[in-house]
Amino acid sequence: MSLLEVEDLRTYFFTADGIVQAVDGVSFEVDTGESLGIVGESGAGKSVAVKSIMGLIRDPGRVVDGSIRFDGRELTDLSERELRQEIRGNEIAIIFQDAMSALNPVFTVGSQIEEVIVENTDRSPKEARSRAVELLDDVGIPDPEQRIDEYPHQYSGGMQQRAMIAMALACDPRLIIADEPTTALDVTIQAGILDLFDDIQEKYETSMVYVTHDLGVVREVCDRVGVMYLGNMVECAPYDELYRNPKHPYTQSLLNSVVTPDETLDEIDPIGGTMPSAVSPPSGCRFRTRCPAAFDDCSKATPPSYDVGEDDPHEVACLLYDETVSRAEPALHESNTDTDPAESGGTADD
Amino acid sequence: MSTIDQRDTDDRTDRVDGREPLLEVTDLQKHFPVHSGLFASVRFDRDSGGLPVRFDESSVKAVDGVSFSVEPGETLGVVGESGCGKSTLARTIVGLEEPTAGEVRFDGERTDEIEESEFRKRTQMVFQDPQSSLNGRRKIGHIIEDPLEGAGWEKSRRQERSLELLEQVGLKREYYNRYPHEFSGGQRQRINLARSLSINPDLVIADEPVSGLDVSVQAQILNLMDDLQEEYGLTYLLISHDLSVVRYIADRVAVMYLGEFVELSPTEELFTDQHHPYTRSLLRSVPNPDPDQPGVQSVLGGTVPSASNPPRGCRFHTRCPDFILPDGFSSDGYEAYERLLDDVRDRTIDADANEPSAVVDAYLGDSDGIPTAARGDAERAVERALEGEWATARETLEAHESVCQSTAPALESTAAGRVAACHLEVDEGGDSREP
Repeated sequence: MSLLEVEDLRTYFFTADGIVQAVDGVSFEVDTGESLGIVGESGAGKSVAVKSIMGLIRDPGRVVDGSIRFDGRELTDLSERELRQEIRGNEIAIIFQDAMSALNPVFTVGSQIEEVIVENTDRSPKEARSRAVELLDDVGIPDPEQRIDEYPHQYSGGMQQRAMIAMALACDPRLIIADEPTTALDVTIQAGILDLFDDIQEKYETSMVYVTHDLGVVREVCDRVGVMYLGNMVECAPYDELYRNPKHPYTQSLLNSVVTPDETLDEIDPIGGTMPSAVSPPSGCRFRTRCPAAFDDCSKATPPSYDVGEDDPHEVACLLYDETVSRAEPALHESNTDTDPAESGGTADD
Repeated sequence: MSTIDQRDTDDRTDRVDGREPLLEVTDLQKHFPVHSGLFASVRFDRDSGGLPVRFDESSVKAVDGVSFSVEPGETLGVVGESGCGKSTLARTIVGLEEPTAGEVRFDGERTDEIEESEFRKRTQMVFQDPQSSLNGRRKIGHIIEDPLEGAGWEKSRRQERSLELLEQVGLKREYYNRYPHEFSGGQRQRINLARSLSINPDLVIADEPVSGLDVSVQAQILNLMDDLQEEYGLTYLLISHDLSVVRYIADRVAVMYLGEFVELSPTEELFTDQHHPYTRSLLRSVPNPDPDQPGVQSVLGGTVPSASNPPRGCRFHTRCPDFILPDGFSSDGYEAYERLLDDVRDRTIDADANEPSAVVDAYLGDSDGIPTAARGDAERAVERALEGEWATARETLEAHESVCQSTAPALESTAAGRVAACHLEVDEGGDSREP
């Protein structure tokens, strides 16, 4: 049994403009000590998916269906109070992108970490303080004995993020959810934080779900990666396997559009168009409107997941991998839609 | 009124023939006062001779002596971490900030001497945030026409041009009457590009035009910028924190650190072989999704120092992985020596200690990584310090400082078309020392 099992999760937002199907049938698992990356463009539903795990979806949003089992316990059945007392913070901790808004500006960094420790463990306030110093030291804050008494604004952006990580570690969570924790940081600072995540996983053997739009970051911190598109998980595989052998047409296009420091203009072939609205997503496979390999059956039903992996599971939700469906042979590797700007700009609004 | 097209075309031909730089920036500086207002900068100072007040004149040196030129049709990328001054540089060039010193020449003329409307017609700026740079209450067609209206175009011609531009940036003519909120981030950046091109400028300064956009959209916009450059013969100055973006579109790249350029090089060369340790560290920090490529290396400790009080000598020395130790010092030994120097500078040496050698021992201990001459000077310096001659003491100690701290390296040529500001590179007659 995996530590975290998410099955057919559906989280909708009931807005005046209609029902936003932000997460629509997502399943994944995270083993103890494992790190799963979730990538996708903005609007893919990555953040909503992980916030659903923590029970952090607020009105008008709601988890409408599916199951989230943590260590065998069904989280969707728990009340807000039970979630707060038994799960959030002590079993599962979350790290957000914007550390400054997650830290309280009127309390010292130390007192905020100590509070978490006292609330969630049976340590005395005195023990909590020495534990907090230890944690700040672990996450690489210089002179932790002094800096523990400083306020968040006295920390630089990178250090605030480190303090957030210390707080997340404060009660030895078994799972850390990190939602774009380094997106707002400079690359040189990000490099230090990515190192830190590596060290933490080694030292604390914590499992992790890491949400990001940056495949380079996933490569640094994750064992496996799931690719989301418009509320669906379209592919999930060990990172190296996914990078070398992407199966889903969307993953292939995504890998082609990534701008990396060792590629030049000619080598990049961006995917055309923009993601359709999650209020009225395309029927069947949600990627079919932009998919270079789409055929008739794609519009009929949401494609199931096929395991195409040789050793480790490599799941892909695409009818191309269903041997019972007949179709014209698609030219996958010449893939990618027309990059003519006239084509790409227009799609979203039509 | 409508002679603009004619004139622009003429100018452009002249320039291409003459090969003069379109934009030439010389020793540009932009300093912001830390305290502004009549009384905000007044400080009490009992030690001053006259009135017990002084004025705090410290300033943030956002751009501190930057020189470069951009050829017509070229794309120059400027990269750097947040706070390095790259956006201020762009804003100062277009005249949104008054320069503290230095000059900007556009097409051979000083920009502060060109008539403003003339300069504005030929230089346009594209900002990072496509959301806030478009007025949400106005139709996008009208937004695109704004620069034309300023230039005195008639309504019907404006509309015609606006429709044409919509198509060129990959939007539809029918979008003319829609409002900005109806568009996605990428589409809004297309609208911004259309607006900046409407007046047919020569130079487009783009400040982080694709950050905040999804990767696939980023690539689309960069491709579009590239196409438009070809079509209109545009010259770009592209400001970005993202090395990948710059790699993708720039012909040459300038790397900026704390208000200064540390390296300027043709793009390909910069990415294959870096001549400044900062550039190297920056590149090693960029995550690469390809598992066959080396992973991220976190080589830069600390944070960017404050631009109001930048480090002496080379501004990068406080974080530099290739810091040059003075001859005879070990790194531990030099660290101890620096602690002594710092305390002499701050005048915080314990004055009760009467025995200079005891003080020196307390700082330097018996570490062997300190040359005898330096240890001797340290004792002499402490003697002076205990007598209250702090300045002499400081100077005595500074004689053994690293070149990285004592001298600011100048931007010097390191290879054809490349410059870098690093002692390692120009040391020993251009014989570059590989770290």
